[in-house]
Amino acid sequence: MYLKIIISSIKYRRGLYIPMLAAVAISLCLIGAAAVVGSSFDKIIDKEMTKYGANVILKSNSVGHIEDENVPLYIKKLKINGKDVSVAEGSIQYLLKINPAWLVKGRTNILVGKTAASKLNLKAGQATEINGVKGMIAVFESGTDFDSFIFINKKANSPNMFLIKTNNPMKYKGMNAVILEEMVRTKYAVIESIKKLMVFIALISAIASITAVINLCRVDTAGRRKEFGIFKSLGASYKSIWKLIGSEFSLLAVISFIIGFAGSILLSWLVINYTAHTMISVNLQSLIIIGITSLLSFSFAAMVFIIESKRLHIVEELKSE
Amino acid sequence: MFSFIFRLAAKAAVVQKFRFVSLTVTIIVATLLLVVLSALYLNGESQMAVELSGVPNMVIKPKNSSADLLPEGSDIIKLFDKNIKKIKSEEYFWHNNIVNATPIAFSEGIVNGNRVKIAGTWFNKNLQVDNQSYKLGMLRFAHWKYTGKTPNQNSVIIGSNVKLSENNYETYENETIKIVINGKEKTFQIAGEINTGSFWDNYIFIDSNLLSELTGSKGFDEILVSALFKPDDNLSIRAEREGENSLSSDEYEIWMCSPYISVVAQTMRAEIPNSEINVQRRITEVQAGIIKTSSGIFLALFILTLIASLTAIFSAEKMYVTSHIKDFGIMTALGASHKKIFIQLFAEISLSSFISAVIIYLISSPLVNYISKAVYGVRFEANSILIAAAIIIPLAVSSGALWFLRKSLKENIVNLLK
Repeated sequence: MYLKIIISSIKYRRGLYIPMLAAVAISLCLIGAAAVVGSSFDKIIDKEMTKYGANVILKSNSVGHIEDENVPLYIKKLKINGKDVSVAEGSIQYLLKINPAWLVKGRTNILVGKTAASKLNLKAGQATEINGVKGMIAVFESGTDFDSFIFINKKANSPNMFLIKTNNPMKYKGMNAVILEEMVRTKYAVIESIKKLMVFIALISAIASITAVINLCRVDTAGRRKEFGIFKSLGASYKSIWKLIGSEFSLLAVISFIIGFAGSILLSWLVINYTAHTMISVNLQSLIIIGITSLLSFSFAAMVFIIESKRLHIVEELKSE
Repeated sequence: MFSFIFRLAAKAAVVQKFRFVSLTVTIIVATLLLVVLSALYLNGESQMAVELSGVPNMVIKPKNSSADLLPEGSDIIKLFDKNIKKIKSEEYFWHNNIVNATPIAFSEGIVNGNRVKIAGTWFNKNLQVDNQSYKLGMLRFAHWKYTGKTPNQNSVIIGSNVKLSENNYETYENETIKIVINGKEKTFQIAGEINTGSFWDNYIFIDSNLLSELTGSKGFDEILVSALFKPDDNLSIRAEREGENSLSSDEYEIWMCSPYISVVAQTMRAEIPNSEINVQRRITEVQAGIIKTSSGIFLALFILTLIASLTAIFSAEKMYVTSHIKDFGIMTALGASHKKIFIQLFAEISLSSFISAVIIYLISSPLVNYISKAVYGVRFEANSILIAAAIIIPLAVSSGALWFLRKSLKENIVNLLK
């Protein structure tokens, strides 16, 4: 019976509640999307960080099994075109896999760094034989000292250098290793900025949502006061009127929470999947933020009517009826 | 007639002050949401690029230098500080994109009988170029973490991997160090420690002028540069992989006038003869990836914000019009045409929008300033787009909403007065 009254009231005021629900649900979607995007940003940046490639250069010929993704290389000095050059034997396929940022023009089994190519006057596409490996030259550019190397696709039988890609580079500390972590601090700085931005988006959206709901409610206060007047004249207490208002807005809060949560998951999935091609991570925090905003928005709306019901003067309100 | 309608609208606004204020407040909040967040999104990409520029992403080296992981000889050609001045001078088209540049001169020294790597550099130098003052140097790389005091010409900065003695110092405060460079011993004050997260942590940094005095060698072996750039797109990828000759003349012009990292490097090479510009691709690829992804997310959030703001304004105006239905009925009964009612409503909503626009214009700038400072650490200036948006959005949305709501005005008089 009670639920019927609430549903009838909501149905009767659909002209008011549909725009109100739409305004809150869209704000909740924005808040939820900001929360989910903020919490997924670590993953997004980690994905971009993989482009960094090998982050440990281990110079040693006496290491045991390396658990992390790595490319063993055997580096030696050779004389090519009358000039000394460092030649590295190893798997070119794994070398390029572990260093996705290197710019390689062509696919071959002889990779010549751009500095080495310029020094030795070697051109891309030129057929050559280096240390028993025949093939066409492909020139690569890394921007590092490897640009003065030549890599040949040959198994490194007794490797003296390992290029390693690992999530925990510090375990190689003290092992004659060069550890490259220069982007780690950058990562945290970016995440901090993004999180702050998302907090402001959520905050401003929450204020906008609450303001929109309160203002929409104010439009209907005159009609509602009249209705409360009828309730009072029929013997209803303030408490039962407040209970009615509270239940009505609680139901609206639940509906907007469901729409807002579903919408924010869908929108953040679209945003993250389309822009970063990765999956979203929804945490409890996002859920709580959406719930609190939804509850706050409609609590303020209910407050408007509760205050109006207290200011009620039955005779005045029913005078025109 | 118009003056009468506007007076009527003003009177209606005063009489219906609660509804009018509610409408105005909703327009203000919703437009502020859009204007403030748009300013953050619009500047987000460039700010993200600045945020990411805290590490060197280019190295300028003399051409044919013998840099190698297994060193094989000494360099012949050297670089000089005039090269840094060139890339910061107005003559170099992308000078504003050069965030930081610091020279490096390599040397070796002996500390407590152990061989150490020495790099002569600028710590934090004021460089005057074209009557402009720039602060450049290794301590200006924002993501190289330095802990210590301000170094002077007789100070050294120790890389975090350098072991000076068996008993590691917990702090370098007030410590001194004796370094033998080129057979000359000199005592230095240790200013602090630097953690770069790269092989630079194996170096002891000293002032480049002092190193030059000790070694007797002039010039530098390389220059570390941090440059802002635009992430690669299809055009720049094609230019990089197939060569600039594969571009049409129009494409070439677009490519050359865009700060792609390859363009910045190529034009820099032209400024510094006999130089080789090594783009640190492992860094630029990560930087470009993050900028691209963030921009996509900012754009998507901007669209969401736009929808949220417009819905809020539209809802508020729908309610305003609905709450006026009885008034329209009375006006129609008194002989007012739909057109006149429409014009009066338009005047009321325009008045509300105008008041909103003025308030938004006044508060959006300080608000954007405050929020940008809190989010990015810099204050965004109120740009012309922001000001135009603050004025146009409320008016445009109000007119648009009214157009959609015109049906409500054409209701039957009996329905209106019911």
